[in-house]
Amino acid sequence: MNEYNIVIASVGGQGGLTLSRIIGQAALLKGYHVRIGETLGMSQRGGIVQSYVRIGDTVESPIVGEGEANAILGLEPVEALRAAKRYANDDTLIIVNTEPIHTITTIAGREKYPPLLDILDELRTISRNMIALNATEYAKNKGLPYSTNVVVLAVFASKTSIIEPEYYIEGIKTFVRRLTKENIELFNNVLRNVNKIITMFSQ
Amino acid sequence: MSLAERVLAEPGKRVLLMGNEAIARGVIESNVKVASGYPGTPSSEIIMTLAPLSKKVGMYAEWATNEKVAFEIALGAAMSGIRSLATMKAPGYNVASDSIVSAAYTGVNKGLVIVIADDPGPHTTQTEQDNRWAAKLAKLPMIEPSNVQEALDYVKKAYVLSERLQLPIIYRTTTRVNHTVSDVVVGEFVNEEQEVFVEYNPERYIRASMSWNRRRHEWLLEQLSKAEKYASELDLNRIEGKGEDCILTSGVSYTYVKENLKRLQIDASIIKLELTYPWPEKFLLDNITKCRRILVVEELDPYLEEHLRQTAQRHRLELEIWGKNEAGIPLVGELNPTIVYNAFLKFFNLNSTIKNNSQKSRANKVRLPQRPPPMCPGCPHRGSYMGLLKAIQKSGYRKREVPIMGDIGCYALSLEPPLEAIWTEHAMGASIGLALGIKIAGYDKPVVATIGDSTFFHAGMPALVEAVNKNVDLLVMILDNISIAMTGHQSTPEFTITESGRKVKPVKIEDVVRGMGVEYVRIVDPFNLEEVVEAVKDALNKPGVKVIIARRECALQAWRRGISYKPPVIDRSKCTDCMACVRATGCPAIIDAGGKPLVIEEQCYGCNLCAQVCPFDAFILRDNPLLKVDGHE
Ligand code: SF4
Ligand code: SF4
Repeated sequence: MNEYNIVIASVGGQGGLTLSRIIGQAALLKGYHVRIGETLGMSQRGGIVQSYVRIGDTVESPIVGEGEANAILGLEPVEALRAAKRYANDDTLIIVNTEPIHTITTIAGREKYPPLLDILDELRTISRNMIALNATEYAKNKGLPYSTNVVVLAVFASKTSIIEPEYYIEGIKTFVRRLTKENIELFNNVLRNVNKIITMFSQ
Repeated sequence: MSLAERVLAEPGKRVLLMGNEAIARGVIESNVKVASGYPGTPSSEIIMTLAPLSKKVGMYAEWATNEKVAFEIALGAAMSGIRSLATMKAPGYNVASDSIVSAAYTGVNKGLVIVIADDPGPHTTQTEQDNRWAAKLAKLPMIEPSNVQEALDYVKKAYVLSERLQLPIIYRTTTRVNHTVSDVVVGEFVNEEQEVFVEYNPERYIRASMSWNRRRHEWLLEQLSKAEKYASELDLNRIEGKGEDCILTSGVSYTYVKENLKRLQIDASIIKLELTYPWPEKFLLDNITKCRRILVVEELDPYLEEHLRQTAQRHRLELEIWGKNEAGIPLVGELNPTIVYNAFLKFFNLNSTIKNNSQKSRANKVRLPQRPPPMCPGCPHRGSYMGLLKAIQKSGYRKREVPIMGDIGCYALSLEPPLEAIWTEHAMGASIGLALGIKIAGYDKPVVATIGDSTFFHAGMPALVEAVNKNVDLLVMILDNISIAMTGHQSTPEFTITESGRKVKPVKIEDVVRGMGVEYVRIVDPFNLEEVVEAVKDALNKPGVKVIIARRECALQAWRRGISYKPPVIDRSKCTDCMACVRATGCPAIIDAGGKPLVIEEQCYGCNLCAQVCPFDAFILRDNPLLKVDGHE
């Protein structure tokens, strides 16, 4: 494989960076080269976090070029759209978690958090290849409220064939240091029932 | 596989490492015995990786009070025959430069590498200073790796070069090298004897004789003249590809060059510089003869470009040079593949083949809200600034009548709504100095300086001495969150144990401040709004220097140690949906959910600050954090 570019869009504290490393480790085990770049805001929690995961036989730079993403994994709807506008093209696979996280400007009432349906509509305009589900709610239901990232990973794993699931599980073992077993179970669960879960948690 | 296992992996193994972790590995491979630094993005993870491993690998790896002290520790060790390391962020160089510049005259007896991590972008730094000029100013050889593998491998080369030249080496990186995670193959550990010896050699170590200084300067130039030759023996600087069209580059820009050449399927010669000071003119002249045109691809200042133009002029080269202007490569911000792609279109005279981003124009219905970085739920700084602002108002001043000087750390996030508290964030420790200036200039209303615990130790102390000595009316709030939170919760001098597990003697801020002669010193709990307000009100108009220490552990740090409190609940029968709690705190854990306040339980730390601002007493408290004292570890 020449190169595959993933942009992970998240809010600090959601586990976006961990997700990038899980994929990176999986890609490494599969035998690809890996470059992960990240753009962090100044705060540890609650700021915009974008990571780029680039894998393939010949990758050099840690940044994805504009319109060059093969996939966008959005752990938060507004951030998914922000990333999609810059990095998506017509064929980009977009997976978006529909659970919103307000910003301090929307909390303070200075700006409006846009209606979820509008965000999803717009993502669909950008790419037909769009999957939306409330991954946070699903993870919560399974007793793992901080595992939105693992649910999104599992959806991604089931919709693409660049890396086999067992490598992702190795990645989880390396980078998810707490509740590792439970997260692997969660990953497998989503993998087995992916279409059902997407339909059930579509909002 | 833990970080430790990856960093210490067997030679030849391929592992996933972040640039800074890779540098740490290179430092361990090089058998460095003393490593010191001051936390600062994007450099922090080097010492953070080394410290917990230090016992195991037999190294001293600790944080110092500031970059100058860190560098002096490393220099002292290297003068005495021990391989050493100093790390710092870009402006850290400014702090350490007094010692670094003199170190070029002194030299070292064993390898010394100074990692200076610049931040084009900037992502997290007050300026985009290009520290390649720092190497030129200090006259110290500089090596620039382009990617994570080189960041690891070139550490070893840097130590060899340092020892051959007897000079400290500046290892200049940028965020995209420090913070990129990549697959890397780790190398062999060198294992050679190092013995401490302290040399008595006045001409070398005493800078008080001007004739000695001149002689050492001559010695330095002599050493520098050998740098290029030694570097080439270490395989630094290289040329790739072919053709009369050439590209001169260094650092991470090289990766953008490489990828775009491949994407556009163009043949060109890449001249990749790795020793970028002293200017490798011989290497350049040897390799540039076949070039008809040359494009310089570099971030920030036209450092390579200016040197290239000088070389071309000195040697009357017939060369068409494309620099920043000609290629449209910006002086501001970091480069990326797209910028370099566009520069290539110009230089190679091509038409755009990039995918047409037509969806961009299709997708513009939704207005995306901004997401400025907020203070975390339970952040003690929230209480400090809420109390400070409230006290200013209660003392009869308008908000913009009492300037609040900010400083560098998480508390600078108080610039965002709803607090919008600080008026400045300038340089480490500058809050106190700037406040002094404002008072001395004659401003007749109170001025407040707010400064973090570590920032106070780093560079706030001299300014506070000045304030006491000159008897300036000033309120200084030291926001002690019991760690260097912003850069990843490093230890401060108040700790009793360091990251490497060593027991140390804590230095308490209150003792320091009293020792400086401050008579008015109070310690408050930022979760206790009333206490903060009362203290500030009391201190604001008193003459002389007043210090209030607002002490409470960083919530994120406490959380990781398993400490948090039960979230308060809102009694719906009392709540009027006025949203005072949501608006006053700006806490991400309490939101306006369709016109009603909602505490998001799994995010709430339980600081109870929102409850303390409710005018209707509608909160039912379920825990009292004020009863518990979080301590220094
Ligand atoms: S401040 Fe009190 S009354 Fe106002 S919305 Fe919040 S809980 Fe309700
Ligand atoms: S108690 Fe209130 S202010 Fe404190 S963390 Fe919870 S929601 Fe935020």
